[in-house]
Amino acid sequence: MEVKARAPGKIILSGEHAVVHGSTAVAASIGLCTYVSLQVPPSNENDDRLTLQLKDMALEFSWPIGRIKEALSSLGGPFPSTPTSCSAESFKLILALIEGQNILEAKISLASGVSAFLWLYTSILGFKPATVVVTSDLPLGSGLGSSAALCVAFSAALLACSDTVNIDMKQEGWLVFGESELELLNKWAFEGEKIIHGKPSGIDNTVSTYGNMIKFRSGNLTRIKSSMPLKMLITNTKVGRNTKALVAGVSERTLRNPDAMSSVFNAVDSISKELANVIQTPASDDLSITAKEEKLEELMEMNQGLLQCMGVSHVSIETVLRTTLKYKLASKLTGAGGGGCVLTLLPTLLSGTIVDKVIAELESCGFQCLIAEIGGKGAEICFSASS
Amino acid sequence: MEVKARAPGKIILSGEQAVVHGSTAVAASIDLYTYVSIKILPSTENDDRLTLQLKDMALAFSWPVGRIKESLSSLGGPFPSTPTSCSTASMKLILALVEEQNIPEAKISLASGVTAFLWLYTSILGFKPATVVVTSELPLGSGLGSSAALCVAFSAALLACSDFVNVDMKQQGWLIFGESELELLNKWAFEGEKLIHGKPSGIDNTVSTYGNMIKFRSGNLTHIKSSMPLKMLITNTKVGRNTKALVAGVAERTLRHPDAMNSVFNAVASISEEMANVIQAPALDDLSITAKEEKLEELMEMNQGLLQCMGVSHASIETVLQTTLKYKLASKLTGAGGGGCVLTLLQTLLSGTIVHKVIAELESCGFQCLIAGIGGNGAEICFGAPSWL
Repeated sequence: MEVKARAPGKIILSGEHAVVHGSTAVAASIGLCTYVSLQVPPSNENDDRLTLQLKDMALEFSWPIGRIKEALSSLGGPFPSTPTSCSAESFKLILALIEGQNILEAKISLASGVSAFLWLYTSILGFKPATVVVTSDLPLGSGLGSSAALCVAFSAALLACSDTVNIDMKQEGWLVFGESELELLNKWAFEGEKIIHGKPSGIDNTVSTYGNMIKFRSGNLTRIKSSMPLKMLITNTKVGRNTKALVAGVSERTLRNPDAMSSVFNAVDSISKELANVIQTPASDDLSITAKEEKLEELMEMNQGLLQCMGVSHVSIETVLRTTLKYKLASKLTGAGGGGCVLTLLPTLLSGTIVDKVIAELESCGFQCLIAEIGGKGAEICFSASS
Repeated sequence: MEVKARAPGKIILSGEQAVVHGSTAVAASIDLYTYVSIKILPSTENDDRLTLQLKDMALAFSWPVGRIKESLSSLGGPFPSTPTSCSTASMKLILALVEEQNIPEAKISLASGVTAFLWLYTSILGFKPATVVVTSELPLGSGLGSSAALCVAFSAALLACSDFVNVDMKQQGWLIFGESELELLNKWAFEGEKLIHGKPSGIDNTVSTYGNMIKFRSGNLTHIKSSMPLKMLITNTKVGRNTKALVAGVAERTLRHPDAMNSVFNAVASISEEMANVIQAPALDDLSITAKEEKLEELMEMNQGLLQCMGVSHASIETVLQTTLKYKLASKLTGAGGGGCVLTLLQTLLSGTIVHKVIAELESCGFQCLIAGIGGNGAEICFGAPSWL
């Protein structure tokens, strides 16, 4: 059996950082996905191995299935209908399996992704030999939710292979799980995220699972349906940053300037709520679509100023802002700041020539540009006959 | 008799734009001055003239005193102890005198300054012949309070010449008026400002008159005494802007987003209050001076982000910010935004080499750089022959 799954990345439309201090934030899925294909058993019938291929990096990890069983059968899996956290002991056992794989120094950050894979695999499917291939449109570690998309895609493919989900395998094309199965999927993906991130908020995997947009505040998530197609230019400054340090920096500034920062967080809260309203309001014609886009642009610009006030902008981000401003486009950083990605709204009536010019200028600065529809589908799976 | 006066320009340290919506703002004098010297001439038979020389622009305006008297004696001057607004009718009469002077098209904005001069002169001194020379370190119309400095310097020199103020003419050096005379000076300067700006807030002339710093909110002014010397790099982007349009733009954004903008204005108010506190708190040693400077830098950076949220920044301002950021210096726009000037705090322990590098880079972008001590003296006068003419 071969199953493919795809799960979208995400952007924060508004509210990053402030959300840690109780403000509302809005996140959306983007039409850039991580794809996982799972072949059980592997095409070579005599192969008793579990193999994980990370195609984009030309890396492969492979274990004799007996080795995995020996190391992890004490965990008692599989238990696909009971999303379970990976305990510290289990994690040690998994790490031991990975250390044998000689991950290059430079790719050491992949170790947690591979750990998450092994946990999800053995918990959902057990100890069956298989070949798993991963490929992705998403740049790693740049704030676009690549790790969550990975966990969601893994979990979706694994659940589809397990007996737990109810899907008509004969149906063609990309299929969506039912509501309760999506819930199960999201919970498993969250467990994977915990292995990669320690204390994730759960928003990334939720957006990737369900798609569309999500409004969240103090742990409460509300799914939003966007009434208008929205396109963004996503510029990856390729400047790495330490998310923990940036979040801590904002907290320290808040300790030093509690009143001012409180007002800043209130302003962000208002902006996010307005943005959510604008997005959900029906747009009846071209004129009102343009009016809505202008409103969103203004809210993005305001949010960016507030993020600058919090101290999380960066010279690379400012360069992107300055460039897009020349073409009268509105931008804001997305995610932790300090580098990472910048969003620029591409209005419906914007000429393709201008888009090309902006991209050319940004790429000449060394940045990576991606265009993405936002608020589209969540996790999907697809069956095909084993070749 | 010959009198010199000098009056400082000003910067807004925090709170511009938001102050229109009720937030607190802090302004400070800068040690860049406008100088006015007045030489009252002995009366001759035929050629009694009033001459105004704007030295920096190589322009001069001159009227026969008789002409002025003929035109404006109906105003009933002089009345130096009673600061009076120039009525519409009086303004018409004065404008007629100004129009005779053939101000070049490119300098037409000077007309209101000359008008203010004539009003102040005839109201405070009457119709005596004199030569008045003006020179200034302040760039015009860039948000540094050049018109207020002009009005304060005019008024100070004129009051010093009148019998009205009590200053010992034999004393040497720069002298300051007494408290009640400063009040009079400030009121006259405000009348001059009204002729140039229509509806000025009064803050610029107050800062220029009294010096040091002022905290203001909804019309209430509080004098602040700074406990630490502060030095700023002032970068003039030379990008002209329409202050009215910028203020209107912020008001329109507020109508569209009342809750968010309200919170923004609250944040600015908190920042201004904190800044005023930091400035007034005593600084006992080098360590605490550095700590205070870092605090001010953080407040400036935060205020700048909020001004960006209001929508009043500009590509030229951002260029200055980016440049100073490379050297780890904190900056913020000052005044209306949309161009104009940018402030960069120069820490006490900052090396001169770095300052030169920053200035070189900014000047290579076409900007004008000035270094100024802030919070210094206000209006001052001096008697005797001007050595700097």
